Amino acid sequence: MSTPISANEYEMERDHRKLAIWVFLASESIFFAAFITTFVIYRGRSVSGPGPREVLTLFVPLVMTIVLLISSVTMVQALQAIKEGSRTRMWQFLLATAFLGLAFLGLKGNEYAHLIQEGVTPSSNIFGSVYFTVTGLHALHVIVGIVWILAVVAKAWRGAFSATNYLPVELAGLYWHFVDLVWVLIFMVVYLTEQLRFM
Amino acid sequence: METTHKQHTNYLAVGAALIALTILEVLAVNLPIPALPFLVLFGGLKALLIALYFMHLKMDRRVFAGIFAIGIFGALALIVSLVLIMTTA
Repeated sequence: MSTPISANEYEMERDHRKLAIWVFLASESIFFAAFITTFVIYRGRSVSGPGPREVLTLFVPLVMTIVLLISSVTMVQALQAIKEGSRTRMWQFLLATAFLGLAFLGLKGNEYAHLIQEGVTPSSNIFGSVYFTVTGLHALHVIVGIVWILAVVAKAWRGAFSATNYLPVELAGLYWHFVDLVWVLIFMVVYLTEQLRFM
Repeated sequence: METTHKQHTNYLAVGAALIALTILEVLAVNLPIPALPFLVLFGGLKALLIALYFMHLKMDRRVFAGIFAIGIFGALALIVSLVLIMTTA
């Protein structure tokens, strides 16, 4: 049987684990910066096959962006709910977040199917390689986020969290918002700049 | 210790602002104007809103913001280095 920890011990553990996740997110920023920059440099250097202007559309990525932004709102509402002591509202918001994440992946799958139909694959040309690398790595992070949130839901279902004990919800939330933040940049760099008529 | 804050952030308003900025971005690329500065501005604002309000950097301990800022600085340094290396090669 575990001994209950004091408020001070809980605060210390909370700070240590939050510090760890912020260090992780800082390293992830550098990781994504490398891939996004590589995309910007190489996207127009294909010598064959369709390029970004011929195959990338704006509507589906716009819907994906809105879906992911709404999922960030539901995630932060889940944290707010447990801080206010409402477990039911917390897991409802967490499930909504996971569902929106799955919707994002469904739309991403739809976009990939369209691109493959148009002849763009990871091995078709340089654009295909850098496009699938950047968006695929992000999609992988979304999958990890959904699994993490569902693990938190499973823990919440067993009554693990309260108004004074909600660290796992907070940590999953930080990761999820970071994934959203990275998508905001990918949406701008990968999709919007391709549509520019005037620089 | 986390800074206590009694008044709650209106997360729905932040979410609405993020969606509005996204729509402005899409409008900007469809207008006959030099849209790149607007894209950078709107994209930067969106990233800032997410970090400050959803990730609670505005209210949380300064050390977390400092660590994340180091990561962002590292990312910017990497971007500049890669661009310089790959465009001058």
